[in-house]
Amino acid sequence: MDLGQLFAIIVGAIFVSNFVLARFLGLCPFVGVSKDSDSALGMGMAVIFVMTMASIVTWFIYMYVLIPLDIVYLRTIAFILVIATLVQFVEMVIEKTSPTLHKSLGIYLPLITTNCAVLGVAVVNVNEFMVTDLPVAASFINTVVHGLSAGLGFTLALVLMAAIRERLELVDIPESMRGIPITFIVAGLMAMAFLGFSGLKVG
Amino acid sequence: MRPLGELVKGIYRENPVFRLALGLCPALAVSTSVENALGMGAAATFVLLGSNVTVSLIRNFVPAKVRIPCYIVVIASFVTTVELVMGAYLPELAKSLGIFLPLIVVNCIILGRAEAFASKHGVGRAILDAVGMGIGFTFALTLIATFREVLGDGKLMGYMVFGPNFQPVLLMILAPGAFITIGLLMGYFNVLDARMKRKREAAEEKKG
Amino acid sequence: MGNFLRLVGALALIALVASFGLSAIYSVTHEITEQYRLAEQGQARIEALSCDSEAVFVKTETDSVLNGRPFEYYTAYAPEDRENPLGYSFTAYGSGYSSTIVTVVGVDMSGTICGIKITDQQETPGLGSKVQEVASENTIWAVMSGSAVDEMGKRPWFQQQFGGTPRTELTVVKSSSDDGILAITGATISSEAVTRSVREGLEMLLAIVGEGDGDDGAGEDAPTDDSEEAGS
Repeated sequence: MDLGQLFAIIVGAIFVSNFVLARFLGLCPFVGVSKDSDSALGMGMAVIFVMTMASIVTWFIYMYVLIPLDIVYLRTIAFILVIATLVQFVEMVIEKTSPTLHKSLGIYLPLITTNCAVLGVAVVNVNEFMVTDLPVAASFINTVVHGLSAGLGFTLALVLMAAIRERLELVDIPESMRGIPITFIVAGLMAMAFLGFSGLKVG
Repeated sequence: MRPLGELVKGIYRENPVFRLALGLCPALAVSTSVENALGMGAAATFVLLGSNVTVSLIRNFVPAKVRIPCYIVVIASFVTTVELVMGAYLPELAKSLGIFLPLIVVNCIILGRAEAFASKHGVGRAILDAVGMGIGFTFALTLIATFREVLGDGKLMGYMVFGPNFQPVLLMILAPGAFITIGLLMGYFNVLDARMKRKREAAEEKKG
Repeated sequence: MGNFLRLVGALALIALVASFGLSAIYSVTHEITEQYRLAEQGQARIEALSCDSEAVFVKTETDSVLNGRPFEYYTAYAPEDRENPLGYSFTAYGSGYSSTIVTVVGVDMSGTICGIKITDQQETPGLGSKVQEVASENTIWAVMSGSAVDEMGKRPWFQQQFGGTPRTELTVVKSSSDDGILAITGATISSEAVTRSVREGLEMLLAIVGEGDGDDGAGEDAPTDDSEEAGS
């Protein structure tokens, strides 16, 4: 197992190519659920779980169903159905274990299905770890680690944004910029800060 | 609403990107050049049209409980169609759009319109809605792309605008520039809206 | 139970119809896509070697591995002369900033790079993407008024640097007064990725076919498969 490569993947997915601030994936929940830290963290946890599970399941489906049957072009349909099922499952679990969290996440929980970050990580995994000639074990481990790290990066951006927005509530903002516009300006500043991580790119 | 209203509402009043905050991911990722923006807009409009028409046609046959997964399969099929056809006939554009081509399937505009509109209206209205939203989406994307390409790369459609000695504001074409551009544009449209509302209210007062 | 079956049945029916429709479309488009890809690679090889479009390329697969992929290279011959190779070509894969950069490399018989053509990249627009940028003199105003200069044959300046560069100078430098490949400002990682992958590929190729003039292609690594392809 190449620890160096795994480290590069982790640092890459969380900082260098952060899914929200660099790859522009997962913006709808990023803008919608980042109003307070608690629901942001809850959403982040749900997304980490879905992204990791989705990475695992889509890996199996791509390697052992789509490729052998030569129906790789059905990838988009297969992946999105897998994700929809996973989200349904996660929603049921959260409803049973923590009704308060379920209530605060509201409509945004089923919307994880259309969270481009989840399908996005599956597609990136295909392009980077499944179409190259990596040995099977390395391909799987890289995929899982990448899915997990991408979820962590998403959660990091989400929690940071929530913390900033909580403070923004106390500030006088021009009427026209309140709500989503100022959130984007803040995101722009965060993205600028994260650009500084590009030097961490290894391998 | 009158038919023409269905078509026009997507362009400004209910613009999916600036007003409904839908389709943000491609709006920021693909708006690095006007050419990409137009290509993505066309692809998304095609999928939107196909999905709205199909959902409207099958709306009475689909059981309510599984309607979302069914709509998703319909949308994913049209997206795959675009992927395959573009890959064969417009390969360079497909390359530029990269992973955002398959990601059209999770463009919230498409599922949003299928659920909120196409499943409740006839095919004719669904078509108008799709075309209007598609044009609105393309307009939003192209507007953002114009700012980013001209200021961030000194070019428009790949050709220089200010001559070879222009030092572009590189930030504009990178991630932060996208966020800042859309934030400022949204704020500007809010200002525009408030101004129009004041004018309308002043006109009402004069009448009444 | 019956209700559940109805729900699943509806979803399954839609999925089935969708799959049939897509496989029909796939059968039409995938041949065209394949042909385009092969033509693009073939065209890139011709451009990289600056040779006649009638040239014939013979593929040789090897057991070596480069950048995680099995290494294979092409030998170019003039159509009438199968004894004397004109040059070699291979594809290099460089791990760039946000994508894998695919470069087709042409090598002449003296072991020097003849030229390169980058066929695939998804680097940062405005920065790394400049590896494919053609330095244009036309402004959009010129294009709209019809006074634009025809720039059909122009190649990206970054790639043109590789032409005539010997193996020893395949390193990235930051100032034009040094010998080597001038990096794109602000896109060192992309520039490095291309340069390194080209250099490593060249080294592997030369180890297999032998260096310098006069070598008739017998190397230590026995080619495992020879297949022929027309150049264009």
